[in-house]
Amino acid sequence: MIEINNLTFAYERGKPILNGLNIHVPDGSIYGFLGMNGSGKTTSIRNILQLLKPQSGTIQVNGNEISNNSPSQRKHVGALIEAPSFYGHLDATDNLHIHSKFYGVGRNRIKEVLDIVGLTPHIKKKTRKYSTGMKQRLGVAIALLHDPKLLILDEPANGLDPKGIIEMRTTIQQLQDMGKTVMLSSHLLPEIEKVATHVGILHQGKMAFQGTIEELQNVKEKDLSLSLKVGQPQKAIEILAAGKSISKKHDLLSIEISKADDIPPIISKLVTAGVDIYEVKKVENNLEELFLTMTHEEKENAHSHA
Amino acid sequence: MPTAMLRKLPSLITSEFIKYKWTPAWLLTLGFGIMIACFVYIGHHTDGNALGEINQNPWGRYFSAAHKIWTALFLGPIFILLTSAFFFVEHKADAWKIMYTHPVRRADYFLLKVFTLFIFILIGISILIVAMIVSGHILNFIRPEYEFSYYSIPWKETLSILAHGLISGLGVIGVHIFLSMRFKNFMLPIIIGIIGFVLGIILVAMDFSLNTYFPYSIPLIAQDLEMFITDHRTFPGDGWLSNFEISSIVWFVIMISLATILETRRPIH
Repeated sequence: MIEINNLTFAYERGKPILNGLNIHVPDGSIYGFLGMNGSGKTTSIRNILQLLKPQSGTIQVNGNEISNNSPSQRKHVGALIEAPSFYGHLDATDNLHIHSKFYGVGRNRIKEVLDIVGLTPHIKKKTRKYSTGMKQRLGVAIALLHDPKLLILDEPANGLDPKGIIEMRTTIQQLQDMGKTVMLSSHLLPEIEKVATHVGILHQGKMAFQGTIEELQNVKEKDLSLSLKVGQPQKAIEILAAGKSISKKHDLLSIEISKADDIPPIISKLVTAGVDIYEVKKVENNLEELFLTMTHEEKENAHSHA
Repeated sequence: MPTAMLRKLPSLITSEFIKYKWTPAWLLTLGFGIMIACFVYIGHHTDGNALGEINQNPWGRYFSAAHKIWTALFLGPIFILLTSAFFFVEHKADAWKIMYTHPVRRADYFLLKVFTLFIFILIGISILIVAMIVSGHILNFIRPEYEFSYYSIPWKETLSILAHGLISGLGVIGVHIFLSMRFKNFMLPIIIGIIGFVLGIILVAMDFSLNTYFPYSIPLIAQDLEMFITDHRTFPGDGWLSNFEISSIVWFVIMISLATILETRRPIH
């Protein structure tokens, strides 16, 4: 659906934001596009949408290479770019009407998309009075209006409260059920993990990781740890010391493990030895740690190849 | 514009009209004609000297008075305000980024906006004409000596007066479209417009020789319609425009071309 090869882009000469970026978004997938704030996610998306002109490399959407300002190639793409844009003095129906005229879409479709995003009860309200969540949903409705095959949603969960995040997740899952391909950018790994089928992690203008969600789980499990709150921490360290890296802070122990299967034997050992356990927590990499892990691996690989 | 775009044009203009519902640009369009007609009406109602000569069509005089008031006081400021308010609707909504993801060329979308702005101006001028006719008949009811009802409106002359007024303001419209697109802002173009308008008044009062080339001076010169049309003509003979009008059109064409180039090449951050 989207194929990007060797994309480079810089706002300032000598300071590339994208540096040989390769992205492969398979047809029918929900592609989680992850990266820290400022990593170049929005810049990549704006290149795909022809809002920025790539300095080198190629971008293919639906098998067609995009060139700058070629409108016909945008027919099958719907987009929500960062904070959604609305005419605040108008209600949701009028806002959708404005966009519908570009695609020859009728009133029925406007009602349909308002239903999909759950805004039907709020159609009379001026959009400037909408909550952040409602604005994000209206942004998705605009993107969906012409029933595109591909949806590009840039940080759709930005500024949403937990209820809004759950609603947005449900909407995205509905879109996949409708057979759409969704490219979804975020800096929140847990959020992407809940909906995505494929993940790409952007780091310093390049892909640090790209693959299925299962492949990402494998990478994450390489660097698991177990957090334990115990009654006798010193005793617990003595019991578990052999072959384990353990750190202690008050009554809290952090034990490095290689996989989730390592947890039951540890707990069993401690219980048998009579150590009181108050809390057990599996700690996975957060996005920052994952980046560090991946970039560290990249360096190691580079050294071993040298 | 490509054929596909032309086919969509009526629909896209409808979309633009939805966008401007109850905005300052829309209210200004609806209001400026009525405001000018009110000024002309009050002037004729209170000033006996405004009475025309006996057996002369009063409509010509009435519309000439509207032209004088329009060009001297309102044309520059109204076009400055209207153009800035018109484009500010897009800036305020941060709508360019989403509009440019639609299957329309940037230049086409920008020119569609310019075209819609002209429809707004023409609606405003139409309202001015209607308001002038209604106020003329009301005036005739109160002061029958004006004899508005005995004469028909000299349409050719009236439309010609209004067309010359519009042409005199094209330069200002062009400059302010460019400024609005360049600065994506409301206040800065307005401030530049106020400075330009005041400078225009000063230059016209001084009868400065380069007034022909200063867009803010041209509407003020157009107050004296006879001089505006006949003096300063590089191309003599009927059917040609005066240098003032050519200058205004050239300003418009240059500024719109620059704004189009700016818009098509602009990276959308």
